Amino acid sequence: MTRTAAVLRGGAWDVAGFAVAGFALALLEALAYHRIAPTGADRAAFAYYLTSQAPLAAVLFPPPVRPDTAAGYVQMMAFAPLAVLFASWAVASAVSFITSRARPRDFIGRLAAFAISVLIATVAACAGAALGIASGGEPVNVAGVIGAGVMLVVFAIACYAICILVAQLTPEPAIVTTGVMLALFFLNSLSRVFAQLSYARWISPFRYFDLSAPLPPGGRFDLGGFAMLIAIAVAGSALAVLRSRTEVTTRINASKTFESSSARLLDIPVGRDLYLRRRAFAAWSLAAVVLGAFLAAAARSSIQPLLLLPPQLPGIHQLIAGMYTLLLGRMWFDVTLLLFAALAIVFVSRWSAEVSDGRLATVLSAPYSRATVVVERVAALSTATAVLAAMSGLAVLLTSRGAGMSVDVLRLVDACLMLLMFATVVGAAGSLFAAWVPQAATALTGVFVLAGYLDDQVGGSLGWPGWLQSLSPFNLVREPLLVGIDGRRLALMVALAVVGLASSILLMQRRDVGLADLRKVANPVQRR
Amino acid sequence: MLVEMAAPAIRTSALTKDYGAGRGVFGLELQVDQHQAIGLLGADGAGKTTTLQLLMGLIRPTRGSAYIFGLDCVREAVEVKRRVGYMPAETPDFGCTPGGDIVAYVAGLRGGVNGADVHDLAERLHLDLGLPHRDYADGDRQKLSILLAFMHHPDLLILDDPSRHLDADAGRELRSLIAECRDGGAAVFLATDVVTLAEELCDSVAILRRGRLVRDLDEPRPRALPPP
Repeated sequence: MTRTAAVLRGGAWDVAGFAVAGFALALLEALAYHRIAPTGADRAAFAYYLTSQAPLAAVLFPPPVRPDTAAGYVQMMAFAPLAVLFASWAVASAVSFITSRARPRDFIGRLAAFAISVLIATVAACAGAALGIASGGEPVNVAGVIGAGVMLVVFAIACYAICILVAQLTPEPAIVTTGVMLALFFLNSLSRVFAQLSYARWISPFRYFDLSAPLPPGGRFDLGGFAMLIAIAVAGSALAVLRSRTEVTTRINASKTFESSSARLLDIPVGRDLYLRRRAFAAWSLAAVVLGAFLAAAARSSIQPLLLLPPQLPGIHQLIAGMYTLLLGRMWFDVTLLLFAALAIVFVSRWSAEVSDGRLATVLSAPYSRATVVVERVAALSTATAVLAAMSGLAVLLTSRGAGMSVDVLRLVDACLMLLMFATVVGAAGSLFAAWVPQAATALTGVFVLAGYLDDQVGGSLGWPGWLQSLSPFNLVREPLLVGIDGRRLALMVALAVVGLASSILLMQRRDVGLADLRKVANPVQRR
Repeated sequence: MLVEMAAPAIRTSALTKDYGAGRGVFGLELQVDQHQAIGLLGADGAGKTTTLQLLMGLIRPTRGSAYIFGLDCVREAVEVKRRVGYMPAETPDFGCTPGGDIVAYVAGLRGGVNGADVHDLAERLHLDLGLPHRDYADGDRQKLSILLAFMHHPDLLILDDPSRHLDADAGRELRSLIAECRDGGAAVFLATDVVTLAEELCDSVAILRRGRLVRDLDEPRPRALPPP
């Protein structure tokens, strides 16, 4: 009990961040819906629009259920993204537990702490949903709200159990666990586009979450899916406990090595950071290429009906090329944008951890200035993003050409450049948070990304000022495949990145590093 | 250059870090000459680690100043660290990174580290650099910290509780390494709560109690720590 309480205290910033994110996401999506569709006729028209657009967003969102109601809209636009957010939380929390020096027997306490944390964040999300739905005069289905919350909590615990189990089985827990969860997510979401994948999606917890949509009137709570999530949570936890009891924690090499690494990259700024993350970098590269190819193929598959039209019809080639570019933007660019936001948050979480685990103090004990540390961090993120964007763009180009679709190469380069700038802006903001309040940097960066997303998605509907919307990184990268790069927007992104970086340097110069009490707060169950 | 050569290895003037509620260090006046080995004794919470972190420029003083070889520990931190080998009280956690990569990484930041010296130190400490850091026992993590502090032949060693977690053999090797550095002309500033370690290795000791010096470097050496 004491251990659970200690973990909860240590993760208070994360809980607060996810609770705020859940509440804001559910509330603002509902408020935006009421603004967009205030009357019955508006709702019917908007529902028709959402249903017709659903195939374009199939990789990110499940098909809408009762989109003529705010509850149906919140189920799709808030609770589906929250499932992805909570799955990411499960990955981060499980990996942090396994890679820390906590004892395996602490697992039950950690699981309980994670369940309580998720419950708190879910209650906040449900409160936001209920408030938002009721604000437009729509009756709130209390049983539906509770059902949606229960599904979210059970789903997150099932993901945590999977992550803990997988993380124990590998010497690279962060990479493998992230890879497994990404694979499970895309297995389910791509099965909405490729029917061939539907036979395998039963292994994905995302599938069982999708089966229920309890929030809208007449919505469904799928008992079979719920039972499967419970079964995954129980079986995963039991196997994780069994595994932790049989694990040998200290390996002994038959022949000792007294040589340090001879890798030249470790002598080069930026290169050394990427070298230490080389396995993770390779995994991200593979994910970028596979996803680029898959999403381009999904876009091609979505315009199949157009390809069946007689080619001699006037304007048919332009129509097909335009539709394909539009779909590439919605499927590849938008999904990769979210993936790069996740990549930037992963980098920030590492910068944050460097304070509590003593690595930053080790670096600053060498003749290395604080300003250089900050610049090198962001430069490493930008370099990694540039390589990943180029590889993903190349995969899209080759897949498109292989499928006989034409792509404007210059626009593709524009899109890759905007992906790079987007990650750099998020990274610069994360760098600022990491220098200012490192223990909360990951949560704050997540909130920054979510705020930017909401600013772009619902800011216009809610009447937020134009200057505020123009600062959202999601707004600044708008549609490069369709319209290319806007010089003013690019300049603004560069300015935001420079301001974030300069502020980080100033804050880093002033902060104390290596406080023993900060370490205890960050790792409350460390072995003494 | 002459001024720098004559400057003491460590000099503090009214050095203060006030964390509130009486925690921290207050008005510290210390001088450690070059080629001298000085022990800083004190119970847990006396302010030893805070003093060492102030010298390393990791935390900023509330008042006062600290100089190493005549260089300001805050404004000239990079130059200071070229000449210092620092071993923190808490060993850092490098996760799955192998020991050999960690050493090469820090050597890359520092520059000019000889691979043969690293090999020699690792062999003397029986530290396997092929294992991931997460597989190191506490004693191995401490040995890695020793290696990182000694590998570049510093002019000044700042060591915080260096014998913690070490077994008898590694403890003997540590004593031998410190003695060799001291005999080779380096200054040593050693914070510990083990009186015998300070007695064996140091020319003189200072004692901290609740953040204040209660015994000067010129007084006779104590046989036991005062109560906290």
